[in-house]
Amino acid sequence: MNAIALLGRRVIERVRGIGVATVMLLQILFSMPTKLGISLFIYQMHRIGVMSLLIIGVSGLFIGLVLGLQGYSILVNVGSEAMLGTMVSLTLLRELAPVVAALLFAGRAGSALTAEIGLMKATEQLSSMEMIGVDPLKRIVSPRLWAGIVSLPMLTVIFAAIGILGGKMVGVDFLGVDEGSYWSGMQSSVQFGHDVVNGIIKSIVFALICTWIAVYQGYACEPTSEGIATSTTRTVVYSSLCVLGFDFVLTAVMFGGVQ
Amino acid sequence: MNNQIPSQSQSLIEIKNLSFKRGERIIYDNVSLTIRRGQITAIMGPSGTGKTTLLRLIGGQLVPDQGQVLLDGKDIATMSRSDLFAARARMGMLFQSGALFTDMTTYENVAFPLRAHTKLPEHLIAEIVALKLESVGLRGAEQLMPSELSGGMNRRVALARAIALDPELIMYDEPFAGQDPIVMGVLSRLIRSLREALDLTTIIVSHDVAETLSIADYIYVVAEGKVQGEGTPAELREHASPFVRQFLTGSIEGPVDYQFSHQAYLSDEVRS
Repeated sequence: MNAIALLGRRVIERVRGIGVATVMLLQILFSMPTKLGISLFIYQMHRIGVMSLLIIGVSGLFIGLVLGLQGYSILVNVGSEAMLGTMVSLTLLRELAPVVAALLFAGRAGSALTAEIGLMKATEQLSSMEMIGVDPLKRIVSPRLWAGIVSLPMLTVIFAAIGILGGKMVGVDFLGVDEGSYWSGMQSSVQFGHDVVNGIIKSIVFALICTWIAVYQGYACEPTSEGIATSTTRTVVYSSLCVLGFDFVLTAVMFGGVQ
Repeated sequence: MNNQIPSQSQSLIEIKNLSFKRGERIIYDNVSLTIRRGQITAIMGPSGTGKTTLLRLIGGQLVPDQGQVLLDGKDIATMSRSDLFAARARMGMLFQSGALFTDMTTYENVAFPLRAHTKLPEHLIAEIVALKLESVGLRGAEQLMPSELSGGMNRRVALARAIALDPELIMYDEPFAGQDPIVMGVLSRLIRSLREALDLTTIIVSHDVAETLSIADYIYVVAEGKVQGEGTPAELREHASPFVRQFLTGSIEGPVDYQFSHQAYLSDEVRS
């Protein structure tokens, strides 16, 4: 009986958490922007977006290099190495760029957001802001959420572009694939509306999920050092699982023949 | 010190039949008390009796399970979010940790409420910040970061921030905890002089008996979810309640348990 009661309590806690997080998200998404809010948003864009450029750029390059190598070694067996550009670009634009950039973003920016907001809560900075009459949702959470939603799609585009250049570096410059066929294959097979836009839509969804989880975990964390550690871990775990799960659903809808 | 109790109509905050629980634990059970305008009211009691919780209930950060917390006759729990934030602009609160914003300088911390609630030009904000820092004896510390301040300075900057908007009500959460005697003396002098200069209604939550008795006009002693005694410092010293007596004298013997409640040891008979 105790086990059933415990299960019930856990379920109620989770459902309540989802409810609170949803109310928080709606309050932020449907509030009017202010002049101060915009300047805070730009500052957070720098912290969340610009500061993530290095890890996104380097990862994109290596993923592109590996794709170039693996793609060439498979395609050369069937004499289709001219298709390398198509393979690298479609793989990156449809799948790898949105997913890997989101996973890296959750690890680099998401965990930092949770820890920052959690520590503010533990040191009563959020409470003191509330008591000063300033809503921490607007002042602290909202600029960070919007900065995440805007910056991840941009990072995803940069990731894909650098990856494609990486694939070209290995395939064309080192392994001797014809440069013309690399680029023209890509040009003929990649459809902007189908591949690029769908990839960006995916990254917007992932951006919302990752940043929402990160700010909520920070805002709702237990104000102790252990609580912050648990919330930070949860941010990375939940974000990664949600990104992979939603990627399957979105791929099925966008590319999987589900009409 | 003003020991005269003004009439009930002069109350700024009225707490009526307040009940509040955390999980299964009852923090307040049908408690009523009054915070009178322009007075220093102290809430005293042993650690863990929910004194800070009471400040959070007054600030609307927690909602009572039953009863009302009335600010100027308006129930804080039923206010809209915007009304609540407007009401909070009339209150200042000094947190136990100071709770300064660690990414801002001392100047920016004190200027924060001014920027949030007024449209004053920068030179006026600078003047007000300088005045407030002067009043807590820290003029010249404007460009220091919170990490560069000592514990006592940290609390004084937080106090300057709490009074930046000239609030009607100021709440101090354990202002003397962990401070050396000099800082304690400075803080109690500040609390008193601020009350006199700005006619502030003041609530102090503390378990520091001597310091609090010396500055409070009226005191509530809270324990086990109820008000165990109330009165002026002089009245409390003569109070008949064993709770009040134990608390004021700091005795281990009395109705408040020193030991955390636990299962009794096995008796010798059972062990043999």
